[in-house]
Amino acid sequence: MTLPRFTHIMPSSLDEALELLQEKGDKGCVKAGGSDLMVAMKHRTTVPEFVVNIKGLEELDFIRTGSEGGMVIGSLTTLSAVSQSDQVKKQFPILAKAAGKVASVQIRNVATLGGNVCLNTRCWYYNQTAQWRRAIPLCYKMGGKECLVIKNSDKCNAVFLADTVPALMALDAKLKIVRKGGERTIPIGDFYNGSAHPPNLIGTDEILTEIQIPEAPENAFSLFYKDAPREVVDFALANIAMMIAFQDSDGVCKDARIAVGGVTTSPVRSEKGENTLKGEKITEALMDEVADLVVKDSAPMSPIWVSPNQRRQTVRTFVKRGLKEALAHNRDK
Amino acid sequence: MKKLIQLNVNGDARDVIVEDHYTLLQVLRTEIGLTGTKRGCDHGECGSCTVLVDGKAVLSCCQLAVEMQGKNIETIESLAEGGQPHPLQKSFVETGAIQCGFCTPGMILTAKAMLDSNPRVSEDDIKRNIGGNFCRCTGYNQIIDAVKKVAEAI
Repeated sequence: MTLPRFTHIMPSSLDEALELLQEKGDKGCVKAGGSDLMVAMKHRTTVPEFVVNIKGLEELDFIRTGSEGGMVIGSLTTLSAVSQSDQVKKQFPILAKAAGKVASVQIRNVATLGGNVCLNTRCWYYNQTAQWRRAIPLCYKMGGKECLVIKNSDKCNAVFLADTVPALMALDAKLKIVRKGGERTIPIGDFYNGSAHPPNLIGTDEILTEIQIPEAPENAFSLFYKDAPREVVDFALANIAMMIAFQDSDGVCKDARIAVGGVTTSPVRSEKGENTLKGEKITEALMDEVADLVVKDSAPMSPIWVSPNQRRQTVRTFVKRGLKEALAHNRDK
Repeated sequence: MKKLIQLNVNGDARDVIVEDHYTLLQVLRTEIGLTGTKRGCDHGECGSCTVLVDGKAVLSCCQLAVEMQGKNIETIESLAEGGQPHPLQKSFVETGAIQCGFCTPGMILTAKAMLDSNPRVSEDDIKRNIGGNFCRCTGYNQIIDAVKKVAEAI
C-alpha cells in the first residue's frame, strides 16, 4: 500500500510548526510518531496535503518533575520511554503499565504519549482500505449520513481505544495545548466530548505539548487493566484505570477515580461509581454496587469486535478486581 | 517532488532519490535493493518489515524515508560478519525456527534489539517482545527456543 502524495515539512521549532499549521489550516496535519496517521493515510481515510512532522522537536520529548510536584511529560515522549522510565514507574506505575500495553514494541518505540491521547476512534467499517470501503455506503466518519455499525443511529459509533488515556484520567492529568499566539490547559476529561467523530477537541492549528500529572493523594493505590484478544498488538476490548485513596488502613475510601476506555466512543469517568465509594468502607456488597454503577456510567454499547454484553461483564469484573486489590494493598501496607 | 537524501544503512552512507511519500521499507527494497526486509501487511501490524533505527526495532512500513536522515538504520543484511551468520541467525537455523522464512528477518532484528538492551530475558519477555512479529508457519515455539538459546549463551 503506497501512501498518497503529500508535502512533508519538518519544522525546526514549535513556533515554526504552529505557524505552519495556522497557515495550512484544514490542508495540514500534524505527524508525531505516525503509527496511527501513516496507516490512516495508506487507507486513504486521512489525506492531508501537507504533513507537518513535529517528531524532531526535542523540546517536547522529556519527563520531568512538575513545579508543584507531580510530573510533566512532553507530548513527544515515546510510549517505550514512558513505560521504561524509572521515574514514571515509581511515581505513576499505572501510566507505565498502560503505556507498555499499547500495541507492540516496534510501535511503542515510535508512537508518542501525545499521539496516544489524540488517537482517532476506530471501527471495523472505517479502518479498512479504500478499495474495501468503496463497496459500502459512506458512514458518518467518512462524511456520509449513516452509521454502519448500529443501523438508524444518529451518530458515529466508532470506539475510543487508547490505553494510556484511562490511566491519565485516573491520575487527573491536564493537557497543555498551544496554538499560534495562545495556549490552554484543560483537564484530560474535557478533551473528549463523547463523540466519535471528531474524537477530541483539538483544533487543526493546535499542538498538544504537555501532559501534566499532579502528585497522587496520600494512601492511594492505582490500578490498570486491559482486556484484548491478544496481549500484544491488539486494541483493547475494555481498559480500566482506577485510583483509590484510603482514610487509613481501615478500608474506608477517601477519594476515588475510575476511568473506562475501549467500550464506547469516548473514555468515561464514572462519577456515580466514584461518589458511591467516597467516605464508605469498601465491602463485598459495595464492590458489586460500584461495579454496576461503573457499567451504567460507561454505557458499553458498541458491538464492534465483541458484544456490548461481554464489555459490560469485563468492566464489572475489572472494577471488582481493582477494588479488591486496592483493599488488599491497603491492608498489607 | 523528488529529492536527494542520504541514508545511513548498515554503516554505509547511501544517496537515494525519494519522494516525500516513500516509506523507509519502499526505499530499502526498491531504491537500495536490500530485499531482506520483507513487506507483509504494509500497515503496521505484522512486524515483517522490522528494521533497527538507532538500535531500536521499528516498523519500516510506517516510517517515512525523508525523516530517516541522520539516523543509523540496520537491516538483516548487516548481521552476518565475514561470511559467518550472527548467533541469532545460527540459532534460528539449528532450532528449526525457519519454515518459509518470511517473518525471520523481523523476528531476528526484534530479538537482537531486545538482547542488545538486556540479554537477561525470561521466556515471557521474549514472548512479549516478539509479540509484534507474526509467524504463520512454525508456531512460535522454535522461535522462542532459538532466542532463548542465544540469550543463555550471552
